[in-house]
Amino acid sequence: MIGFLKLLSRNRLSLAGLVVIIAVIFVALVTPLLPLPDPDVIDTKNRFKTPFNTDAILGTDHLGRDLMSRLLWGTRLSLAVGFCAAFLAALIGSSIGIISGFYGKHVDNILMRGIDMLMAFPYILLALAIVAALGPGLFNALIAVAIVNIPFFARNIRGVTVGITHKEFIDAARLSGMTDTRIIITEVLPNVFPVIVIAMSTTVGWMILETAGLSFLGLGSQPPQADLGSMLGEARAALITSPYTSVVPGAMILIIVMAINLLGDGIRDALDPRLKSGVLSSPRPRTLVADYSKTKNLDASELLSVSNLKTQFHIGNRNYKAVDGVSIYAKKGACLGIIGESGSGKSVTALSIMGLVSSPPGIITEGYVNYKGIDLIQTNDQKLRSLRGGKISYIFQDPLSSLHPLYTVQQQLEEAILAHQNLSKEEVYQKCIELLKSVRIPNPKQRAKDYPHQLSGGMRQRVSIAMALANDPEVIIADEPTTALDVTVQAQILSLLRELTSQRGLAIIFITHDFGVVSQICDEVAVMYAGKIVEYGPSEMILNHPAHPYTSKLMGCVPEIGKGKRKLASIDGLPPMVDKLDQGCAFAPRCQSTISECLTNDIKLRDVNRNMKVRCIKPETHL
Amino acid sequence: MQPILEAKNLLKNFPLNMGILERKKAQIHAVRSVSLKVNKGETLGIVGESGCGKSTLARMLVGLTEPTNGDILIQNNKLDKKSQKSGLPRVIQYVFQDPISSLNPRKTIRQVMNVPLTHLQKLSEKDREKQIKQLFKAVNLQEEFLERYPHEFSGGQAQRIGIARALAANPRILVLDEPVSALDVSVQAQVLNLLSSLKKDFGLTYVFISHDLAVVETVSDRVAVMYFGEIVEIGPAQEIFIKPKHPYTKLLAESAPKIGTKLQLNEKSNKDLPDPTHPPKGCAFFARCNHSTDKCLDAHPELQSDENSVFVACHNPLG
Amino acid sequence: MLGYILKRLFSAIPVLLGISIIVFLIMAMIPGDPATAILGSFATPENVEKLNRDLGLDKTLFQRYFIWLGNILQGDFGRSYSLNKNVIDEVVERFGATLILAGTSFIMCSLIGICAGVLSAAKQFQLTDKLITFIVLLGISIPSFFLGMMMILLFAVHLRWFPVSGMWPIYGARDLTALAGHLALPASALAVVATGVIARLSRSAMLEILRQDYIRTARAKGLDEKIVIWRHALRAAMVSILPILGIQAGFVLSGAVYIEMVFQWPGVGRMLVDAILKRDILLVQGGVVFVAACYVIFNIAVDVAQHLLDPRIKT
Repeated sequence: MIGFLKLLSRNRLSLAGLVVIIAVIFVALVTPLLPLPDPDVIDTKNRFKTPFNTDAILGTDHLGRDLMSRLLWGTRLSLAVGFCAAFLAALIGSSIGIISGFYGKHVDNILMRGIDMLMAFPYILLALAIVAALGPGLFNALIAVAIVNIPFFARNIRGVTVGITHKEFIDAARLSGMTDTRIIITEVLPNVFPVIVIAMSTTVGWMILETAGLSFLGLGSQPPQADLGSMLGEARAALITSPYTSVVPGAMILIIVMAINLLGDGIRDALDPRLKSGVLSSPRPRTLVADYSKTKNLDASELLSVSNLKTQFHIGNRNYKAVDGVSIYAKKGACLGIIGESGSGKSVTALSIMGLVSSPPGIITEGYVNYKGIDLIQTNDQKLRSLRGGKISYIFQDPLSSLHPLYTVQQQLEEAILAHQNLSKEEVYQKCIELLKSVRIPNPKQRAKDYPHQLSGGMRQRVSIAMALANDPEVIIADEPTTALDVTVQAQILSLLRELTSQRGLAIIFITHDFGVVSQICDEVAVMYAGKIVEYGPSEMILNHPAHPYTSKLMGCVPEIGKGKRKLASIDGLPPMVDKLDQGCAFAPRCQSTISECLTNDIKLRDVNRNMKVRCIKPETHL
Repeated sequence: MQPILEAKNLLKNFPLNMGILERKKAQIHAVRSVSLKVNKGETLGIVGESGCGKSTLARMLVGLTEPTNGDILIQNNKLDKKSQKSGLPRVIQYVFQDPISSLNPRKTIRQVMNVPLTHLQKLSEKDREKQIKQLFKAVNLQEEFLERYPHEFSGGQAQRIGIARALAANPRILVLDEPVSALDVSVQAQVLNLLSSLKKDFGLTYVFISHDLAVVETVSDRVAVMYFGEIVEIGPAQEIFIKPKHPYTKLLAESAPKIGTKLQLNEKSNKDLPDPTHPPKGCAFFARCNHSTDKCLDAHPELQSDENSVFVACHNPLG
Repeated sequence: MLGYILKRLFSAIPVLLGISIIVFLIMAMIPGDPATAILGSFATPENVEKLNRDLGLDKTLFQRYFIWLGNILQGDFGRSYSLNKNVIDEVVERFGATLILAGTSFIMCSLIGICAGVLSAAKQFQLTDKLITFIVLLGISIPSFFLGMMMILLFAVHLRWFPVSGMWPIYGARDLTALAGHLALPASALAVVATGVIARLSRSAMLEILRQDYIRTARAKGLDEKIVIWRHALRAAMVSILPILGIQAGFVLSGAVYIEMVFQWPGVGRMLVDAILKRDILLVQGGVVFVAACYVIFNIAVDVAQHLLDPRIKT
């Protein structure tokens, strides 16, 4: 609860909303105690008194009634009716939603058909019909507004419930012997509740508006009793002569609803865990770069190199050093592997090269990426864009999510080509078919017309590769391109990549977590741990004689085919969190050859031999 | 030997949602007639690629998915709605693939652990306390974790909690559905080793499902290979990938990347899997197979045993 | 495609039946005696009985429903006693006026709302975003009838840019310019709330899409940011924006009732409110069923558009 308030208070507008709404509610509550004139006493002699006079602060209305008094009593009424309607709608709607979502099948079908029926009306028609049947009156208006809003809750809550019902912890609860009712109460409800609160907080304002609207039409509160809506309705006749009689209740509605909406937004932000972790922020077109001194003279003969790259994630007041001083070199016609466990910074390294790390929260704080003398981190947007997908292209992990679902293969390929080349329509099409052929997609003319969801996983990844090849790149950065694929398909994709490397003299930077894959495709490999490269060299050498204890231990953990049932070697402990790294070697707490120096000194990456580098004081191999 | 768990001709079809007006209902044939026996104390590995029906099979074995057809016998008792109510589920428990999402985010670990102890074992609070302590010790977790919420744990820790919860029902059989595929290698090795020591300590029987051949081989006594909703081969773990009988097993074994081997491509064509709504009449692997004959196209191969307890569903089994 | 449209139209039949049942039942719930309402409380018992027979009130609920349904299927919605006119004629005439108002307003709020949402999402956390978010919040918090009144005060009374109310000038030609002048204020007042809602939901739909992998792919391809936003992201976001537009059309239609009251627009909403206050049940019944049926048809059109937009939905 305190945490919730803290989160809420982070949003200053919401806090203002909270203060206003509390003030309004307080005034509404104490209204009966205030020394106000009776709101319903008619005094036609004193009608239309302008505001700020001694008798009536806000003036009087067309029947000479004190506007201040009527305003406060009306606010009281409007708030009560609005909140009641919201509560009723939430209670009934959420119950329907939970039951419908949890039981599914026929129950769901019947309930949702009923809800669809209600939603087939523009809401006011239904409300009008209900008021017509029950007769005008505030209570009837309340019922109408509540009923009209039931579908909103039922639908939303049903959607969330369906999602939760399919979560594994519901299955687990079932296997643990819980009954359905108990599962709904202890497993589903606590997870749905925040959504109900969010839905309520974002609709209370709306419901106050709706009841005010019905009263405005003369179908809600009946004279002499008045809520804010009917005050406005009565004032309409005198709009031109005495506008303040309209402005007073209208402004009050605006203030209340606005405050509630501001508060509602704050509640939503505070309760939605996705917003909390910043997941819902949309990434900028390019990773942010901190202001640091630029390197001037870059070697134009190098194809692509990364030097001392540091990429961090700033989330809240934490600073995750995802990549902490990485240097790698891509060579023509060779494949460089970057291997590591999750959180080691391997993907962030790959994405940093072309500024594709999500910002916020990502930020590049140091280092440069040298492509033939151009620093890709400091170069202007236009230059970077001309290289993206041009000379340097990417292949991503999950081909289904990384291809646009609503465009055909052809549209996506042609677009990639046209972003960098000026070709006629016919030429582009030819090129597109050629590309599909080159990645060995059978029947390319047919497949070009398909949408990604119509292709198998392997075919989709071939399309991604074709797209990466579209503009004859020099470097391809492949971020776990086979992780989402089955082994038999993986073998095909790997051999395709291998072939392309040698045929076209491509440089590939290949991110993976699989030593087997490294062995099959990489010429060189960099092993990453906690944002740093711990070992770098020819892959054959490293796989046969790993120098860093982490590499050798990690390889020991990998089960291999053909050795039968056995106990595996394992590494005790967990990889460190990169937001609180201690001094010294990050692997030291899990290493068996740790000495005191490992804990105090910053360990440098140093040469083991001519080709191999290691970040260790006591490497396991000396050559 | 008497099998502790037996599946007879298990079949599962999922109806495709075609709308009310469609007369003919299309169905996905997820599991097509699977029979298997698991002996007491053994680990049966089930391996296969995505969409082969291995997870559906696993869910049927524990009663989370109702089979369209076929029977499941647990210690010779039939698993159905009635026996599920009477507490048969206690005997067989399930460990989920995604360790975090198998824990209710709004419950502390103690609350999670208490559920099976209260509802299945019907223990008093004091006994529950004692059991939880023992279980946490068995899976190498500190007791102070009990008051925390799931999101505070790493994948490996959460999976240990998932295992402890399954053990809290005091089961005889654990069905493990890809229990380590969401974990990093170093953590994966920890969990696999833990599983094998628990099996000894608690006298368990495992059904271990994974897409990773090497992992399955490391933990299993026998391995069943699934393809397109069927078991195509069952055999001893130490041999099945070295001396495969079914061409598909061979393809799988050769495709798995190994350290120190060069890339070799064993399948020239890029044939897709057959359509799961219209299973072929003959062998499902026909189109991808290098050894196929006309018979494979027409006649469905049945699972048959050869001389050494290896079962294979192939008209032309390999050497 | 044609098959899908037919199928969709076919599936609307149960919905329309459901609507007719709901409306009929609600109207049947009305307490009191409609005959008394029509004839006044001084009517002779014979006259009341005769009228009840004429209205079919001596039959069972079940029979009455089917008679009523049969009649409305033939276009006979009964006769309005308060206007002494066929219900259907009045409803169609009034609905035409409402359509002009709501249609204009709907086009306004869709275009402005989506653009504002996209812009806001593309510039998340920047000044543009904050400004749009605040204006949108103001828009969804203000009662449209209050806004309408304030607009009359400012633009019609004070500045005299537009006429105060009505659909046509009392004197002078009833041409398009005259209509546009009369339409400007009510259509804008009506559009404000829906614009806000559409902008809000478009923004969150866009934010959801912008962090998808395929947007990163589009950027990795080297596409211009304008293309990434307005082609790749908006196209995908439209899949979730379209249903919102469908729902908002209902809100615009609903809001039109208030606006028609404020601006004396001769639409169906004002007719309904008058009919309720005069207890002219047949007119209410007919009006509600007719407008709801039109809304159902409109939503089918939205579904069809959705279908065209998203190849993943199976035909």
